[in-house]
Amino acid sequence: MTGTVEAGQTGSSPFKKNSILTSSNNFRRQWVDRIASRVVTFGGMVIIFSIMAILLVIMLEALPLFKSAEITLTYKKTGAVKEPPMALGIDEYQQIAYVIDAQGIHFYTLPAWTPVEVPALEELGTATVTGVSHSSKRFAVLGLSDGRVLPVKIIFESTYKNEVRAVFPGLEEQKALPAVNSGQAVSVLAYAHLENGYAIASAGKGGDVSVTHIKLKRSMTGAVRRKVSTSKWTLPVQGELTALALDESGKRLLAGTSSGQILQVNLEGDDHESSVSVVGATESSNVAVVFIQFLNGGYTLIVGDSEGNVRSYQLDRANLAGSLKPIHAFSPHAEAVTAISHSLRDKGFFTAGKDGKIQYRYATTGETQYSMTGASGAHFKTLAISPKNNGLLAVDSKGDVYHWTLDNPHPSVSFKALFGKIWYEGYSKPEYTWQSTGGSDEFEPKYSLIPLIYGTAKGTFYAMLFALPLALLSAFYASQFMNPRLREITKPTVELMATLPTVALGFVGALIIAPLLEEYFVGFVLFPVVSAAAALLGWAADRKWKISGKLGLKPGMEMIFLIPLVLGAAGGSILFGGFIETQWMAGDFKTWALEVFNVQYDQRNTMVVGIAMGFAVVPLIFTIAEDSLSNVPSHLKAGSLALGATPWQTAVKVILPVALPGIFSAVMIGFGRAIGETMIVLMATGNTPIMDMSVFNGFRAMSANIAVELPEAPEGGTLYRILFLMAFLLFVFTFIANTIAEIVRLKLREKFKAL
Amino acid sequence: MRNIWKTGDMFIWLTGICLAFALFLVSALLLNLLINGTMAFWPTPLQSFSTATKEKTILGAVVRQELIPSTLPERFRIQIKRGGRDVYGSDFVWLDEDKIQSSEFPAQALIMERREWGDLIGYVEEVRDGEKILATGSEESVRVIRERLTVLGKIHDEIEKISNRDVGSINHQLEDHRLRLKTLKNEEKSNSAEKEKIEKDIADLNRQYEELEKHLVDLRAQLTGSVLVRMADGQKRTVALAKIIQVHLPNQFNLWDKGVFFYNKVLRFLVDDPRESNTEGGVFPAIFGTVMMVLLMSFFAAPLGVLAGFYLREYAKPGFFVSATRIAVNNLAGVPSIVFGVFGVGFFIYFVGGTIDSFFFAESLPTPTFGTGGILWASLTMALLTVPIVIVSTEEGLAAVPRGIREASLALGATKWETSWRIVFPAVMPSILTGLILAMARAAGEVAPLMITGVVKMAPSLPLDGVWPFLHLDQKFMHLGFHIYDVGFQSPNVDAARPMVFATTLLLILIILILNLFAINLRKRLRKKLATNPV
Repeated sequence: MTGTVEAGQTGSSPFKKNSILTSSNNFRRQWVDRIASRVVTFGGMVIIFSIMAILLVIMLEALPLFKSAEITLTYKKTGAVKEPPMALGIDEYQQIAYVIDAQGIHFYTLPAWTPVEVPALEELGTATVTGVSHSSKRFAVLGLSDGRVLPVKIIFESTYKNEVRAVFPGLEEQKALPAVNSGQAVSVLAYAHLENGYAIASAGKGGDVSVTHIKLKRSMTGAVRRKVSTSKWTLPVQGELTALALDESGKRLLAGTSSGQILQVNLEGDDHESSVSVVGATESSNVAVVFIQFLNGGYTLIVGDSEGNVRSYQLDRANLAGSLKPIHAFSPHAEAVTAISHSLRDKGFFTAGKDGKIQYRYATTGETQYSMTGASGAHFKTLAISPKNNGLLAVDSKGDVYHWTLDNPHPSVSFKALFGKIWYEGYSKPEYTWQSTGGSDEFEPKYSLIPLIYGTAKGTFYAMLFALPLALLSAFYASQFMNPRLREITKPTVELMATLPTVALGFVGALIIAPLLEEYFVGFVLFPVVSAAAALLGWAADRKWKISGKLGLKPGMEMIFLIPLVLGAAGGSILFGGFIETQWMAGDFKTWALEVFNVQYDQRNTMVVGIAMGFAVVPLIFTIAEDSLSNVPSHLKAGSLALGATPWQTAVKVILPVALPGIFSAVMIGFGRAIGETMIVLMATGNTPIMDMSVFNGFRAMSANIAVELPEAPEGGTLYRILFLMAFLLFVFTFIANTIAEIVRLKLREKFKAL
Repeated sequence: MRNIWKTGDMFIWLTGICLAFALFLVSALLLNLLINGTMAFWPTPLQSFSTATKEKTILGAVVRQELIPSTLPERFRIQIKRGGRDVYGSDFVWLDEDKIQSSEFPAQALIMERREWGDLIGYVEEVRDGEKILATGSEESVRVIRERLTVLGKIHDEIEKISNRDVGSINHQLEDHRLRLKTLKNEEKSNSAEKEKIEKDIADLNRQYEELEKHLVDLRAQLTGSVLVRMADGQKRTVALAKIIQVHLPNQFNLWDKGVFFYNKVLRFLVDDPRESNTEGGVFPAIFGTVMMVLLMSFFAAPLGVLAGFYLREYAKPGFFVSATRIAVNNLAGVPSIVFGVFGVGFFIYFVGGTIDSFFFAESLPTPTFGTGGILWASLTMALLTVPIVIVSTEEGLAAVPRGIREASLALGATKWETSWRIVFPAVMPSILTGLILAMARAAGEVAPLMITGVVKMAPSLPLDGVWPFLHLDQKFMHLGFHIYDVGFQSPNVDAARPMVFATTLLLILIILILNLFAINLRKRLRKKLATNPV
């Protein structure tokens, strides 16, 4: 209104001014106009693009999950090591390396490789080191040429001065174990860190193995008492023992032989015969076992052989006599494997082979994620992964030292881990599992998206099962048969239902619907049948006695009878359901279902979600379907009726086919809403990530999972990014559903115009 | 018969009953919430049961009756709220109906609302102040208690004011000073003069703090007096007057008294702070937080939505790009709200918030200031979620403005900007408002994105207060919807929380329905106006 007035006021002068192009006022107006148009265009585009950027940001946050490991060579020291070492280690800041060779343990700075002087090992004496068992936990057990075994603790002390870190290495010798196996040089040995001490196994001639448990007990005064117990075993081996491994309970010994056997010894067993069992073998008896290595967590062990095969097995932890379960065969080396080094944080490990390759593998997924080669004509003898999992040190057969930086923030995630069945530690078979957090440090998070996608699909399916017939038939009735005056009240009522906050619906579902359903379940199942019967009875009665005619009701006023009929049907089905329950189900549906069908009825189940979600989805589908049905050009209806078709025939055969795309788009939009619904599924289900199609138990949907777990997920971590991936999936699903719906609807609108 | 089948009249009834069922569901739902929500405030009479169980008599309000599961023939039991969580360990007790020997409504039965441990139900014996007995007998005691409570209430308010506002302000200043000291230390400048000044200020503040503390101790000493209550099972309890909020003899209420009680309870529900981990008291901080968030959201969503709407309809050249954009914007309204929440976490909180922190609040790191959930990020997330609604309704409004108006204005020599700003904009104003109100209703009801962007179950202070800079955008806040989720599902005492949840749900639904009805009305009137105003 103000616009017209102003236009009138300035109406007389603009004529003059407009004719003078140089008028400053006019110039200013043009200038303002140009600026405004640029601002609006720019601002509008920015806003629209930033809305679109949502997808991009979510995607970018999830993308690093799929980045493969990045391994870059940082330096190489040619000829740094004279004699190929038996073992190698590195401190957590990657400033000091140590090398174990025949003369003992030597430290070097990195990357300069200048020796660091530490006192020589006293216990070593004139003997030389002939074998090493060395876990990355900074404990090395040296097998000596005179048959003794010497445990050594390797210490790194870091100090800060002017914010510069200095690392000082040191050695702490334990008492050497006296020679067993008649003083023969010890070259194959194993060590395990136990709760209150450690255990050492060493191999002698043939199948001779001696196992020593050292228990350390701290007394009240602080003095440490050692209790040493040794047991001797003779294993029925063909050839020589080539590898030993002790599990972390110290009660089980695994041994590999030159003839390719893998033996398991139950160290608790009394009877030597029955305690030893052959639990695995390489392909043939000419293929020797090179190493047996437990991974972080002590559940999975890796076996490498002289043909280059690398396999993983799982231990039967509960049963000491149980067998090994073969899990994965990793992509093999072309020649014999030489070394392994495993991560202290996850299930990743490196293997080196005589073919000159180093391969990075992940035990959970069985994938080989990275492969690299050193100088030609040489192969890697020893490997050491850094404690923080961010570097790798290796020495090759020429004595060259290599160091790589490792960047692999999400090793446990791959396409297979997210969408495939994975055989996790402690499981009896490969499964889809979602378990993102656990109690202990050893816990390995399990990130299969399948149970959650399944949960989302299940919730959506049952919600649509409830909502679709209700919404579509209601819309059909409202648009075609209902009296227009009644429709004017009904439609906004149903639309208002769409605005109900979902948190309220979730609350209603969990605290009102769930107990009601539990009590009247049978009645609820009967309700559709009973109400249909009621409707038909009502129709028959009306036809027979012409009730509406007598009351002077116009057609389309059936609602007046239908509402009492629904109430009656509800009451009737509850009574009837109660009757059935007492007659045939021994008074209680839940126990009956458990006994007859063996299904457990949970109070917060999928059916509750279906109904509660129905409150959110029905009005949405109803509104859109009703719109497209009533927007069908009226001359079609009029023509059909004029030709003698009944209202029902007109509605089904003329109107419905025309409006079908609109109904389809209504369904798609309802579907999109049900997929992403969060609060209702969060509140009305038990949120357990199980995969079971039964209506009687709950599920965990992606949306609810995000809401629950995102506040706890550390930024940039694997879980955080996986939750972003879930959000991305939800976005894509719903966006596709909505876009299809929108396009169909636009096409329909054009069609209506053409009719 | 075949004919009848062919005409299909019966199917009309069959489809009709679906609609009837849908309507029945909605009305049943709303009615249930309305009844349960209102009943939370209505006084319930106290009934005394003598029973054949271990506890001879039970006094309390009957909450509900239910079938004892898995028993034949059917037997019922009732749940009684007998209060005294500190005495009995729980507020509620179940009683099998066949164990009841007799019941009555004792006129002397008293319900006492306390600041801690919920209600206490029993019979008042006497009121005393130290050794002095002020009153005995129910009626007289209640009168005296109420008199004393008005006096004590004032002292209480004073204490609250000092401990919240004055002490809070001192703490705030102390924190500021501490951070400044830390910054000075980090910069390693030996600016000893400034350092000394700050240290002196801190000493001053500490002295002020001690004075306030002393004052508080004085005030607390004035809160004297106690009430001796006899419980139903005969044991006696002394309750300090300072711990009492209200006392009632509900069995003596007439309709007027009940109305007054109801009115007071509703009022206190709206203006009080929550107590007892949100299961009692009011929801004021949640209402305040919801309103603040919605207002902030509107502040962002309205201009952005209008700008985008104008661009799409008035400035952009129609074509594939514009129609694709329009479809995309429409679809965004259907993208799950939790996805927006995830975006808010990744972009606003960690990226923008983290950047702000590293530039402006480096001294308090690693404790994040803006790099964690807060009302600003929650409202921005919500604004993104609702901006499509504003865009769509602005566009609808623009489409409804007749071309003639624009052409007339342009023909008179107005520039495009002048036409848009002075002619078109006023005409679409109602549409924009409608869109905005719908957006507000949507934002008020959404919970999922807020759960991850800054809502908490219990915020220590409001995001708007008397401490500079008054509006604390970095603060976490409470929200009605989240309150429902939290109290109804995370509360340790679900039975006691139930009336509270119903009342909150009813309140939230009322707010949203009112907003929506307002918007629908506005749109209807606008359509009429445009229809009868041909230009």
